[in-house]
Amino acid sequence: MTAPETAKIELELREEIARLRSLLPERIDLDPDDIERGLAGLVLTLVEFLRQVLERQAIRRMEGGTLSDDEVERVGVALMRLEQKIGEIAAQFGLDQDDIQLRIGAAS
Amino acid sequence: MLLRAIVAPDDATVGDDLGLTTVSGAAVAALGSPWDKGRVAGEPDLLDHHRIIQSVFERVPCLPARFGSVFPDEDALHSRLVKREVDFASQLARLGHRCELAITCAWRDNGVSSPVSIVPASSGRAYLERGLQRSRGDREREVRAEAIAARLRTELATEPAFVRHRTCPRPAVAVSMSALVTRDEINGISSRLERVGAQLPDVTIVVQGPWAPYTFAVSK
Repeated sequence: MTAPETAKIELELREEIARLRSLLPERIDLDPDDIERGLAGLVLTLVEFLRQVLERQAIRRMEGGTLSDDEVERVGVALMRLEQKIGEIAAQFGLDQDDIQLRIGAAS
Repeated sequence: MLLRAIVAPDDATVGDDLGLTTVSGAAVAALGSPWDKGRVAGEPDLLDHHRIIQSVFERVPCLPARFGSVFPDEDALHSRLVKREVDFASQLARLGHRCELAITCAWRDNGVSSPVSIVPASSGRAYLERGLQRSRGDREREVRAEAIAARLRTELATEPAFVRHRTCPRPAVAVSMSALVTRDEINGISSRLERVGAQLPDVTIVVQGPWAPYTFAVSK
């Protein structure tokens, strides 16, 4: 990997960390009667955020031709299953996956 | 004490009939309202804050406070004001007589250029390729939104420091722009933006305001 490529990746990671910071609330204001749902929403938002970061990296590497066919398939399946699982857990807690996406979008 | 706005010392009495408390410094004055410690704010409080600031702004130049700037009492607000009043006075002189317009360009297709598939991908590669297509679409939108923002800035023909924008802040929005203008510029700008809007096939332009300079004032 060349120095400019490394610098670009470092810059992108810094941007992702800045986004992650803005996702985290300054104070966690949990409703005592609904604590599980509140925590689930926060945790699922973070997991979905990380999943999106990994997906972008995977897509970039696929575009750049640095993943083998087998690696593309394995990473793709893992990310797809993770997305499905996040949706299932969100539904169990009565959360809408659009709300999670909106929280991430607002932090962009 | 909930801070509402900062005004010039000569305008310190502007909030008297609005029920506001005045805390005076040498270079500026702060207008606030009593706020019980521990009180939880709701949407009506936010709207009330906006209404109060608009009432002040319609009478005198002011710096609006961000909603939620709460101080334990008048003394605490005064000591904070004294520490920052030179900065506030400078901002007030630069921004106070200007008002903010919010310009939103919404995608006519509501940000959905191609239907999102809800069918699970048939393979890991298909899943990533779907993501790749989405990513390319997003990049194209970003480039287009930047071009639209540049066009708007040209039409506004105002000092660059008085215009801020974000591209693609939400899927349905191409550009969200705030511009500081003088009151006598508003009609001309609105007409020019309307003309530009008619020439852009992919977005609808909505102009809101004039408001106090929320985006440009930092009185936290």
